[in-house]
Amino acid sequence: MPRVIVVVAAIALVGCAGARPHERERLAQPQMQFDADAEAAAHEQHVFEYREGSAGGYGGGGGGCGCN
Amino acid sequence: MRLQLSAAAALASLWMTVWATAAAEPTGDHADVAVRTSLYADDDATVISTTSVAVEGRATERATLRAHYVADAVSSASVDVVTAATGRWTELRSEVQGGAAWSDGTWAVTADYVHSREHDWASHTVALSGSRDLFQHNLTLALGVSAVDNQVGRAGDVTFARQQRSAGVDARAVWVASPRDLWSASYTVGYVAGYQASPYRYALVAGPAATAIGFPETAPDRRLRHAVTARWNHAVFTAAAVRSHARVYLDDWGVASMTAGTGLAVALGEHLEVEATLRGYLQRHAAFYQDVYDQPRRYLTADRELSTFRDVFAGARARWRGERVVVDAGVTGFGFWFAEFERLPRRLGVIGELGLRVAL
Repeated sequence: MPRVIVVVAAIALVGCAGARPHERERLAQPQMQFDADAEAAAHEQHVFEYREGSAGGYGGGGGGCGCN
Repeated sequence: MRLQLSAAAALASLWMTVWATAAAEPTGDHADVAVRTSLYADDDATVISTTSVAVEGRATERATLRAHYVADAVSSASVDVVTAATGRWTELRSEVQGGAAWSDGTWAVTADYVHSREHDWASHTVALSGSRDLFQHNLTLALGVSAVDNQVGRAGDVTFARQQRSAGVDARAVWVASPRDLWSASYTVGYVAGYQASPYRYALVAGPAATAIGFPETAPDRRLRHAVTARWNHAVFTAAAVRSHARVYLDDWGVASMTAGTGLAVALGEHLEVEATLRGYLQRHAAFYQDVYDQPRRYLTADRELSTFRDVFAGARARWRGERVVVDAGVTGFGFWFAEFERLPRRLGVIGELGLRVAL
């Protein structure tokens, strides 16, 4: 049952939206990428994980903390 | 000072090498080399210099190999070490990573290994992920798992050795909502087991006649963490995007937080892009956190990152994209306001960053 709900929700979500291949020009621009620069994102997340009590949700992680 | 001069010389040499590589004749679209340096400084007497070098190369038409090296140089005389009655300390953290990625345009898998080492901490991380594109690439479902083994030590004490292990799962969906809208939603769960206090910090317990006595930190040896994140990139005007994100975090230590941020990235002509960002964070303290404890308790912490506080980061970045070279520079100012940490009610600082990426 949960699997059916997930599939139906996904179809409902995507079926009424999305972009055809010829409509993806804006989506392909660098500023539309979530993590166009992985190294910069890793530096940024390292600061947040070191300085805040929360973690997770933005990718990255691992490799020790340097905060012992 | 000698360590800092050596590090500066090595850094300058590294940048010149990568720049010289960029000036050389192209050999084809086979690999990327990236070098990045950031400098963090705050008014809590802490300076952190971070430099990374990353290489990614195409092994076959569908497979890539990647590696990076990161060095953190930390110098601090923050209120933590003052409380512990020690002076300014400096240390160097080194991290190496190796990984591989494979994609056929619909399915993608990655595998990475990370090893991090400093004088009192060693860490091994293994991470695997897989994703699948659906509905004409309008929806991507991804699942990632990771496991970390940490060995915790204490400077000047060879008898002190503790273990900390963690594992995490990240489930993510990215979907194209329209030709101008890209959404992402994720759920991350993490479990940490083992030593999670600091061997250097001392929690304060109220003593007689308005004095306070320092006790070594003790923290629960289990922690279950949950994070739900949403991200939204929306194209505006002819070549700009508003990038927003929000996260809700909860764990079984009682820490709860909300993160929200937004940014505007604008392309100015063919090569130049500028970006402004703003990020805010609110946190509720761990259930066992107190600034000064009324009596010794099972769990005692002086970790202000477990207290109630808020912070704000505001930044600007410029990026120039050439045919084979991308250069970017950014600066971010930040402020932390601690509601329950009398020794440091406020912390202000700045982060400067410089990056260079070259396609070989």
